[in-house]
Amino acid sequence: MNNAAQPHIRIDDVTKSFGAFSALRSVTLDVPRGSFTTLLGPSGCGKTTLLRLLAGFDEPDSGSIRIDGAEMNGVPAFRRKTPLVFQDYALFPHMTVQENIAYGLKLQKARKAETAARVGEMMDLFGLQGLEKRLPKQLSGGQQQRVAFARALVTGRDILLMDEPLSNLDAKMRVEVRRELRELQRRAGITAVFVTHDQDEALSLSDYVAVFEKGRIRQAGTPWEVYYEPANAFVADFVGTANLLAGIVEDVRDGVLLVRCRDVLLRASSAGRTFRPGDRATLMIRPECLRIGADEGDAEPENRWMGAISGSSFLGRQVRYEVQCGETTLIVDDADPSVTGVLDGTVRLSCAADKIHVLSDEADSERKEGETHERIRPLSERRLG
Amino acid sequence: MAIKKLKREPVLFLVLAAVLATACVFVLWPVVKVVSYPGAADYLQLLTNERWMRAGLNSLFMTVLSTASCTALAFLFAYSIVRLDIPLKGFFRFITLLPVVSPPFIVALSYILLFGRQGLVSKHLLHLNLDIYGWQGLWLVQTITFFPYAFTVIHGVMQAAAAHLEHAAHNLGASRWQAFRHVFLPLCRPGIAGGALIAAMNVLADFGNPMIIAGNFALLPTEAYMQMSGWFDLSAASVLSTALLVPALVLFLVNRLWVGKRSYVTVTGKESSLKAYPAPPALKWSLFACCLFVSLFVLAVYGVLVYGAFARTWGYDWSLTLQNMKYVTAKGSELWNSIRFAAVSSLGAVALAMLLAYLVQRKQVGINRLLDVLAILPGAVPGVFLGLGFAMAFNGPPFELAGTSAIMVLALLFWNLPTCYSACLAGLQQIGRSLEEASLNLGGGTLRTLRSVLLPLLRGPILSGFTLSFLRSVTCLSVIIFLYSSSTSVGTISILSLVQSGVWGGASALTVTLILIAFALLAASRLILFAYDRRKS
Amino acid sequence: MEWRWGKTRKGMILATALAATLTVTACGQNGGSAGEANSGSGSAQAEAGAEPSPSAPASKKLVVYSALNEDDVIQLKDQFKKDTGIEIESLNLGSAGEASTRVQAEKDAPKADILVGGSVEFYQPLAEQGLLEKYTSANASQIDAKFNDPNGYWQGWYMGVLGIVLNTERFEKELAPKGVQEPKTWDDLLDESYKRQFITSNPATAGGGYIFVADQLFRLGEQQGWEYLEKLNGNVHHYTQKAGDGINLTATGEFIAGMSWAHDIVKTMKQGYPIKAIVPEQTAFEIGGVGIVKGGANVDNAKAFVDWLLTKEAGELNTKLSNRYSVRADVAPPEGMPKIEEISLVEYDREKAAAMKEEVVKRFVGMTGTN
Repeated sequence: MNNAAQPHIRIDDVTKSFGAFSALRSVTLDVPRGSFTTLLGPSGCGKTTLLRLLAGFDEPDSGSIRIDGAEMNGVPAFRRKTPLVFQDYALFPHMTVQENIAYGLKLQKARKAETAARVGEMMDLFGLQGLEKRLPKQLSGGQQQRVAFARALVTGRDILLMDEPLSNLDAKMRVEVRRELRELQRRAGITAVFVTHDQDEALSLSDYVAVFEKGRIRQAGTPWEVYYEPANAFVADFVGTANLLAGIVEDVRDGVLLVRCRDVLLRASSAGRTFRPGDRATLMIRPECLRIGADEGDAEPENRWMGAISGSSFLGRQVRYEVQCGETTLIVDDADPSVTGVLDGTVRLSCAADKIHVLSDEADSERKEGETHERIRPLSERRLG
Repeated sequence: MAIKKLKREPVLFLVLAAVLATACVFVLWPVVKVVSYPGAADYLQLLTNERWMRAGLNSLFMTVLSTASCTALAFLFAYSIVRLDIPLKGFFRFITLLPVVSPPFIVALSYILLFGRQGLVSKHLLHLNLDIYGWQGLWLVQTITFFPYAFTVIHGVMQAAAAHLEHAAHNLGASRWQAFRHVFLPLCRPGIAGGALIAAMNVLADFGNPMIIAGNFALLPTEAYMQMSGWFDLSAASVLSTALLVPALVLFLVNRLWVGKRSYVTVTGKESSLKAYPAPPALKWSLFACCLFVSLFVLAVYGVLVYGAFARTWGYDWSLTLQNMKYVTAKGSELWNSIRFAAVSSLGAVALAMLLAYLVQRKQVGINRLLDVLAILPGAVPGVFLGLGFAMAFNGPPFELAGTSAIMVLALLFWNLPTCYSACLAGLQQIGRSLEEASLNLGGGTLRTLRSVLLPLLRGPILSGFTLSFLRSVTCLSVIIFLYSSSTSVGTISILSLVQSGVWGGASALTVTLILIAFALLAASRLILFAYDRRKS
Repeated sequence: MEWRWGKTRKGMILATALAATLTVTACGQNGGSAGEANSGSGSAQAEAGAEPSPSAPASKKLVVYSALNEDDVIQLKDQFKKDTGIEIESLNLGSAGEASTRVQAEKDAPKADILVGGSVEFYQPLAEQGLLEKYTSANASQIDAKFNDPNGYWQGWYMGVLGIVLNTERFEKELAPKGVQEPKTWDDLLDESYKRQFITSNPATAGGGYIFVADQLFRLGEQQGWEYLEKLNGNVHHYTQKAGDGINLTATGEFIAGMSWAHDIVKTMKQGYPIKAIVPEQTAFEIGGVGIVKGGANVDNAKAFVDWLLTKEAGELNTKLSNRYSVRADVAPPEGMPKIEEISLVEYDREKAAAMKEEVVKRFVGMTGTN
């Protein structure tokens, strides 16, 4: 069963619609054992639907879901062993904290002593001591959330599903809980599937992130991959702030592309993909990858813009500039404002060739326009490849 | 999709099949028996008989009027009890139960004694020249008699409507009135709709009060009853009863449209401990005064009944005596039957209602609409009609039940089904699905989830559904009038026969005893439940 | 009730009967054993006046659906067992209509052997539907022919007359000072003093109400009859659904006078209310019936019961209990009521009354505007 090579959860070509609305379109994804995998996307993108399919609350219209290699279609929710932390916690209002946590064990017919011990463990773990006899309505939001986690984890399953469980917490608490959650998951060796629309949360928590849009996975990969090597403009934009530049390939040499974007010539890595001169290409540069400085009239003709600062905001750890370069507006982060101070007027921007990313899907999707089905390489393949 | 789902859950399929079969046999079949009894010519008479046409219009008029007033009064009571910090809440709760116990004719006579032309209150206390006979008097009596049915549903729903939503409205700048209108009232909508429906159906089908109070104002159910008992015209009675089905079904459709597909979920599993926003004192005390006034009114009516039980000559010679109690001792077995049948049938009704509400509200089984209709249908037919249907349908193979206790229990059970069902459905509509999903997710099967999550959460509606069913069964006459046998005769039959012999003191004594036993049993069962809860926690 | 308890012998009978009923009902289905034990003592069943049944009944049981007063049935039952040894299992149904409806609903598998009480008008349709067993008792020859079904499906065994219920207290206080005399005839009710103080029942719903209307039409002829009804309508406060409701309301003083069955008025009067029963001239009557249900299990016992009901003794007992007249000329009138020969009865044509009912009711509804 515990074959390490086999993905813990394998989602294969799953489609689900509610009436005329297509919630999931041919979704394929592997969740490796012991990983923390996040389903990220704007609301209505299908990520929660997928989670509900995993938990067995709904059945896919087509495609299959396997857990530990076993087909899950037709297995009712209560036999799946996929504890879920609900967005609104779904604590049983008529049960005390203790009863809520013990409920899953009671269903497993665990012995009383064992139940008590494990519930106690969870209470300790989540800092709920002294609240045993309280009813959910007598708890704060944070406490309710911890009870919800304790209730899901107490059964000792090796999968934990979470549906935006942190959305009800304040910013500071959220950051703290993220860390704890990550540590807990690692320590217990649980495979976690986490749904969120918050990209910070996704990037900071996850081993893998699957980015959803309109019922499809637009990209799946490590946080690093989806951030620095987004497959398409949607992912680039959703995962963080991105400068997207459209251009025409002028030259290809030793895996280095020379792309003309308006009147600027940019040198970028082709990232192993083949381009011919004359092809269109979209380039992505993260704001923090651009260097900003006063106009000094320097030598390098490529990867360089001249522009005027049209807006700036001081964020403490960085300054974010909006720079007008001809008809293009670029967003630039100066990561250490203490060196240069807040700039103004005309500036020069530059970027190293290896920090410019060519979007891989753009050309493809243009060629395949009209096709509804988009196949994403499963994570595992990506990892091996 | 429904079929696929059923294949996957064989237990659900079996339960569904069983429920459907039961409903068809005990709801549809008796109704069909009655509807198909008269011929086409008999039905044509409905259009040509002037008196019946009038009676039909009168019934509609009365139903609309009384439903509005019942619902308003029920809302007032529910709001005062749930949301206001006022004294005497327990007493008001009791008052909302008392009129459910309305044995045949004797309560109507109490109204006349108090508010009739020579009424103790109307003439001798207030020196008014009131004439209670007619639609105005009937409206008053029906409002008081049937508001408890609406109350039960509305109260259950209101209790579950969380206060934090109103706080949210206040926060957005809504005044008290705006928060009430835009948030609280819409949240109570399933309750108001369910309560109004159940009150409307009761008013529509009632024949006991109109018989005495309505004067020359003819109504369909009275007409149907009299065609049966006065003229032994079964065809005419069936035609008139069938005519009642139409408005009842329309009411039902209107209700379902109004509640619609909106979400009224307020119990989500994310709990809030906010208290209700306090009402301004002027409002609070005027509502309190209203409740108190109505309560005193109800008390007066039942007070007459109690007094009558110990009076030498009911309504004439008020000197005290115990002579009426001899009727009570002579009718021990009938009283015991009343209690026994009422208890068993109410338990059964609650269980079946719960199951039906769950299937209809929670499981997409493809025939949800049908089940919904079947569950509410017995409420749409007058009790006499239902009883007659049972008598016709179960008097031979394959269901030879005539004369048994079983037929009494079953008839009462299905008669009570709509009341319990409405309460359960309204309650269920307020409980978010994620609570059940949480239980399923932790490994609880459907039945287990039903038992350990939904049942405890629906305890309020279930208890009130049971209480209501029990009380109305104890004093029910219409349903069982064609079903009882010498060994299964009940208290109300004896009461009726005493009333018909003019022995109202004895009838009162029997009634009061029945009410006392019923309330004592309810109190005892509550105490036991309470003690059980205490021990558990 | 109290009047009955005053007399020791009857009190004891009632008490025994009640005890017996309690045992039977308490034991439910198993009550039969108690019945059998008792039936031995009643074996001396030969009864004067009653023809012995053609063959000795095999069972000692009889299931009776009755539209009679419950307490009366208990006594009749008790006496019948004493006389014949047959145990009656009775089911009291509120009215003849309900009892008939029952018989009709159960026609596929009859539960009852015999139907007793209520006007013979209810028996006629049952006979037409073939639900009654044909039987003419030998004792019927001793009775006026108008009480016997010419076709032999039902048998009349008692008679009730329509009367006026008068609240004497209110009458003395409000009408007597104005010089109004107690009503002696139906026409006296047209006096303006009764305006909105008189209550009667609706012919569309109540049997008694219809007999009253038909009475006027027979008594005065079609045209004058309707004129009378129209005038009377001016005095009527409202038409009750049931014939008996007016008595209750007059007894408690809501109205000064009403129209209903005289025996029901007397029954209520005996409860201690300040009312009296007046039997006006040219009143109408109903014949109380008994009929054997076709397909019942104990046909022979049922026949014995019909024979027994027509005896003088049974007639006297019923008259005492129910205040109704016996069909037998040799039975004394009910207490407080005039002798049957002193009552002037209208020439009541039952067949015509039944035939014209629909038309009359329609016209009545149109005239009174009752809706």
